[in-house]
Amino acid sequence: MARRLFTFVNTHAVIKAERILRGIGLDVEVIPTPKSISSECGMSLLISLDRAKEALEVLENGGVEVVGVYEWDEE
Amino acid sequence: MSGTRNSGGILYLDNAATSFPKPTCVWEAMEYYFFKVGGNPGRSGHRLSYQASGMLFDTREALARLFNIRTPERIVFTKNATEAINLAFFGLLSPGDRVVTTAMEHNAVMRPLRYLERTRGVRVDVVPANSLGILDMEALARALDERAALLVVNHASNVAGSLVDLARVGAMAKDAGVPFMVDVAQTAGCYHIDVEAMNISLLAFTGHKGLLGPQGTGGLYVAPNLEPTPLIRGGTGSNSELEEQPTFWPDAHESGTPNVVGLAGLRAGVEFVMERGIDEIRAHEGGLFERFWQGAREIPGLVLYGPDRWEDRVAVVSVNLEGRDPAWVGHRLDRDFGIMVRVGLHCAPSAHRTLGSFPGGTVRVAFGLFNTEEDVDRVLGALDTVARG
Repeated sequence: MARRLFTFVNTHAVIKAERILRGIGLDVEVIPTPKSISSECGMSLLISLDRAKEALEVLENGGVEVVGVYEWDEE
Repeated sequence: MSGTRNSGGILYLDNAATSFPKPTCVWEAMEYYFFKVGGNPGRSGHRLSYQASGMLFDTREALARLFNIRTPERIVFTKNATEAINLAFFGLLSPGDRVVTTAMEHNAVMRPLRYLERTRGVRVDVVPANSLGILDMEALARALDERAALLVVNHASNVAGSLVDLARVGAMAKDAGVPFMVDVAQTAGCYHIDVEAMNISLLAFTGHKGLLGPQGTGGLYVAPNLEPTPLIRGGTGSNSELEEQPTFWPDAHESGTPNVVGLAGLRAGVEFVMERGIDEIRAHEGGLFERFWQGAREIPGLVLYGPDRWEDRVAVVSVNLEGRDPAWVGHRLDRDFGIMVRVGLHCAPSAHRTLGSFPGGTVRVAFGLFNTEEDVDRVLGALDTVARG
């Protein structure tokens, strides 16, 4: 399953995003932000590729800023 | 869920200093964090850290619901209302700024303002109140005619219990274009506070009084059009590659590991208050006040301070026995009757000057959510005995 990685400014925004997305039935996974993307000690969300666009719209409407969207290699 | 009664025949009537006892759910929430979570929020990448972050998130959300705050991330946690007030003053005021405040302020407001007046060239104008502790609204209107950087008001006096009409003052501040800051140390959890409807730009609250949380919790809400500089800078778990403080909220103002165990308890306290309902809490405390006020009038030589009408006040009541040192009255209540009150100046010399009780101070009886009519009768009986003895 291909997924996208969403990054946020802080943990407060990650939690807000996670709750909004779970609230509309999206399956999200919280992971530490990979160091290849950011050297900060934050968290990010993994969202399935087919619902990533929808997730972005929902978060924008919910007032949560998504800092970056990255391709995610499942390995 | 009910509150725990205090034991050993002690009657606690010092709820304006800190509420006691606390609801059982408060320490259960703290226990849950302490034994089951334990992580440092916003730092590490593991589930216990993330769960701790979630607990802080939930506390912010609960407070946002209580105060009708649309942007919970702009609630910054502090250790008490005093720190919240300092954050606002030191973060927003510049030399030459004029601040309008009231004669009923606590030293949490007065001391930092007087310091800024003396050292940074901030002008402080104090609006008087009458001898009942009720703010002079005409003088306030005149004070707002001149340009001001901030209006700071104590919602309810911690000495006389007198309330300020926040909706009315908020509308005046809006008309004058002045940011409106309110100290709700004595009213959060006991009175309806709506930052939108009352046009409040800065709300400083404490967690351990009417919100029924533990000591060491409090916070400041800052409206989106104001950006104070941080009082404290340091690690936030975010933007760690940078040596500059982040500017986004709440991180900008929350450096260092927060009091997660306390804030977990605060959430439970806030939810307890909301479940019980502000209207019911207000009605309960009103009943206690009316019973006390009526009975107190019958006690010989007992001087009562503050407004007579419940609409004008909260259940913080100041009294004095004519010719008696308040410290001695307080000691008798404790030693002979097991009743805990607070005597003296209550960190509010300006309020006592206004009420005519400076420098001796008063005996302050502060009822809380868990007090009963029997408690009122017991303190009245004790005061009557002390008055006649």
